Amino acid sequence: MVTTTFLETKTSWFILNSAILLGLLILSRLPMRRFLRDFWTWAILLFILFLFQAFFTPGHRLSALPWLPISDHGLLMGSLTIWRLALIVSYAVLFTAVTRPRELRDSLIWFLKPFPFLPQRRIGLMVSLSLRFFSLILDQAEEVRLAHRARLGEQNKNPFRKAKLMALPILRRSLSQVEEVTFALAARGYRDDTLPQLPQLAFSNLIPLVIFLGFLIALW
Amino acid sequence: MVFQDADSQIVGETTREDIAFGPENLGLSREEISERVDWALRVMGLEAISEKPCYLLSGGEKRRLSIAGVLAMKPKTILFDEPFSHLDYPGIRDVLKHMVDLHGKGHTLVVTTHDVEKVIAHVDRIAILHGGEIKAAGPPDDFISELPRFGVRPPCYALLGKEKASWLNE
Repeated sequence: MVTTTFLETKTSWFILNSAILLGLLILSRLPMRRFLRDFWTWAILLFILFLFQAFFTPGHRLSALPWLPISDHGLLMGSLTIWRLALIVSYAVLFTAVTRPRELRDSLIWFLKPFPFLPQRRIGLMVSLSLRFFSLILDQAEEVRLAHRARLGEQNKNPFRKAKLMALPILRRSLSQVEEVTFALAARGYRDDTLPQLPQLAFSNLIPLVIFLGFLIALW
Repeated sequence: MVFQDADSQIVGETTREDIAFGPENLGLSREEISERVDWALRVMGLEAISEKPCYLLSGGEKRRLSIAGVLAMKPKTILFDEPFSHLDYPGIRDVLKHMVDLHGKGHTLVVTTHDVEKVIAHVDRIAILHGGEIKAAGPPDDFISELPRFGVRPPCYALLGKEKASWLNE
């Protein structure tokens, strides 16, 4: 529902989306500091985009600041663009912050159920393992970086050599870990043909669906 | 099998989910899986951290979780690959205590290790592997003196000519 409203250009839809986002943030009880921490890097990008639009969109200059090469049309377009993008990013940040990887995996398996030729359990496991081992690979990368630093590796200014010296150990360790994980899965009897057991859907989870149907009926 | 690197073996998001992985692969019912997970948590003393994310577990907790994950499949024999690596002293004693308990309950444990010091007081048989071949096998007391020949350090009590000592004795 929210995604379709992003296609709109009227300010009223943005206000509605902002109100829904605020409501969801309050309901999720996500600490604002955490939300802002995840949003911060995107905010810098959005500000740069705003400046581009403000400075390079043709139009009349601001009457209050005629010496500033910003057009009023550029200000308006820039504001609406970053408002839309900020809403999209905020929803994404909120979604990833409050959704457990297990729930993402179960949702994916549920969506793949109508397709019998797709290995649902394997795909679900791949998603779980990717999320689980991504942080481990980052830890390994940090270890390799510290090992280089301990041997004055940072004094080497050639970026290609630095990249090669970083990438090769990480790749080797990752491949070695892949082999171990494969054996570990086999040791615990992993099989593709075992049907994944999805948790029962709680009635409270159907409430957003009811609200969405009500929204569609109201639009119609 | 319990691997040397516990991180390679842990696939679940929380302790409970990881232990459930093995029974799920056996195609058991939801109730049976839940029962086995609760039992494995109890046996390995992980009930208090059953909902803890696996990446927040200490080295000893991860090792215990690896054992619990295998235990939930109710194997008769459990293989351990260097079970004490990367563990501190309390962690080693904790894992050793659980291994001795499992052995006492009738499980067969096969442990591969270079550090015989920690387990030799509790084992019934040892086999010395060298160059891909079993060079000797039998009761540990018969082969302690042979260990240095194969690059394995004998336990301290043997070097000092003292009585057999367990790491669980304080």
